[in-house]
Amino acid sequence: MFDPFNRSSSANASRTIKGWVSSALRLSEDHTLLVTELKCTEPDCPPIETVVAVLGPGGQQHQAKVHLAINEITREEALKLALDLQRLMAGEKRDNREDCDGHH
Amino acid sequence: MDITNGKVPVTVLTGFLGAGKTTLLNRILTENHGKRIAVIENEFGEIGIDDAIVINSDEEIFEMNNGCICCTVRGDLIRILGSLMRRRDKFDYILVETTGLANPAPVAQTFFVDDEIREQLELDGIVTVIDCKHVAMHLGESQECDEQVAFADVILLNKTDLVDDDAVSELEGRIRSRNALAKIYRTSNATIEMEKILNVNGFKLDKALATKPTFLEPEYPFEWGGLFELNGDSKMLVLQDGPDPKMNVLFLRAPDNEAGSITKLAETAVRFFSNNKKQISPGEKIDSSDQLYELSLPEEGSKTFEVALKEPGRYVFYTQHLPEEFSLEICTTSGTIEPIDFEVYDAGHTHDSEVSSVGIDSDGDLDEEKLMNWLGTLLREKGTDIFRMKGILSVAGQNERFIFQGVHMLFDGKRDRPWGDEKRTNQLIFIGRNLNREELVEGFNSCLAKKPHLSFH
Repeated sequence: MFDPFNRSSSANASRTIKGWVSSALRLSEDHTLLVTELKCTEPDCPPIETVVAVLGPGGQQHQAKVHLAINEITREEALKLALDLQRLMAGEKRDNREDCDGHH
Repeated sequence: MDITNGKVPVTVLTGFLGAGKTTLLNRILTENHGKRIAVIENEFGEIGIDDAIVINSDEEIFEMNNGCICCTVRGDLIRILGSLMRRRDKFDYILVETTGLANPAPVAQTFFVDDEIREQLELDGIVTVIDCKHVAMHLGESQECDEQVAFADVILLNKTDLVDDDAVSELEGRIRSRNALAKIYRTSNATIEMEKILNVNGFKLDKALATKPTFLEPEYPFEWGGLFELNGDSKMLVLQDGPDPKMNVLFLRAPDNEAGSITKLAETAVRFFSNNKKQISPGEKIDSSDQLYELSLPEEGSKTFEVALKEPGRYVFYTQHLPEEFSLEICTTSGTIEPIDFEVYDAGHTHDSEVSSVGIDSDGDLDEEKLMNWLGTLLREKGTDIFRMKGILSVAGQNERFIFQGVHMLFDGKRDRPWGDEKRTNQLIFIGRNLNREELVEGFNSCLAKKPHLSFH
């Protein structure tokens, strides 16, 4: 059941996840990580998911999701999310290169 | 240091280009308030302070869930706040200036989605600056303008020197109908005391509804009130075919020999119109009481209801629709009784905007489980349209007040201090688009554990 009265803080868990993801991706200081738990309200969606996003200095945005609460995310899960993010970031680099090749 | 609970307060400045945001910003920065302020600017302004930390940023919308406004934040702010917090010893207050066309929701939500941000920063308030002379062309026309007004904790009606008092008052009325929560100040040249715009605790749960929302006239759930002098003979309420197969009616005893009864009783009638309806069919009886009746008018032709009097005297009928729409009459066997006085009310159609505030003010305890279900469903189905909400609730079996506040679907609530000697009561306010007042009141009503005594504004 939706419980609006029970929103607990997960700042420590959030920090830990950011640490795992950041070191796995070897992110520099100019990248920011966002960890947020969404209580999904659509009928066909799982009731809870956590979004981990990387925001790059040039406005790049990548996100990966897992159907777990923040407090349930283990190191293993965090590394899977990091892997997803790495693929997205690599894809962006490749796209950018192709764009450049196309232009020149 | 101006850091409360170890958190750095953040004020968001919104307003259309030219409204006076930069003037206000410069005023804040030059005022001798002892705060070291970091400014995140979205618009090229002329900030005249050399030693202020000023960071320019371009609006980057970041959607965590495609297309869902509730899951949309500002990527640029997240990055800048992240880097600012690495030098948090350099400032003790943050001001975020948005562009005139910015939607305030993603800005506000940025401070709630990430628990690390929540731990370090506290959104103190949204201050919206309005150009009295030019806002009229945007209000009700521009979604951004309406939302900047609706989201605000503080609204400055600026440049009042350029318009006359009547125009400012009319504008204030229009703004108040959209946002019954905000503190509204009239200014010229954005001159205002700092304590009115900084540290206003607009999002602090403990301060939720610390000051009662200001409402204009209540929106009447009835269109007509008629005062009748009725003697002891049997009376009938007779209706013909009308535009609706049902109509709500309230029948109240009025004081005899007193002028203005209809108006005086109207506020009571507004409250009683929120009571549970009793559906009755032609032939059934209407008593003078707090009972709201829903007249069932299904068949063609004349429909008659019996009117029961406690005693001869003056009575007021409040009707959901105008009598002429149903050719409504009070009759005896010998003929029609004309009202000795009547009032026509605007039944909730007075807003010039789809953005409005709905307030609920009610005694009675709430059933916690029903309340959670209602709020959950409400946020799920209407979260996109509910911009902001705040409330203090009396939950059955709980000694403490339950307080909450929310932005779209981001809901924050907790048990607060005990009620003590204070009268237990419920006060909620919703600000949003296309809010259905009746539905909200009915939904809330269904959560009451005891007999409801509701008023709504």
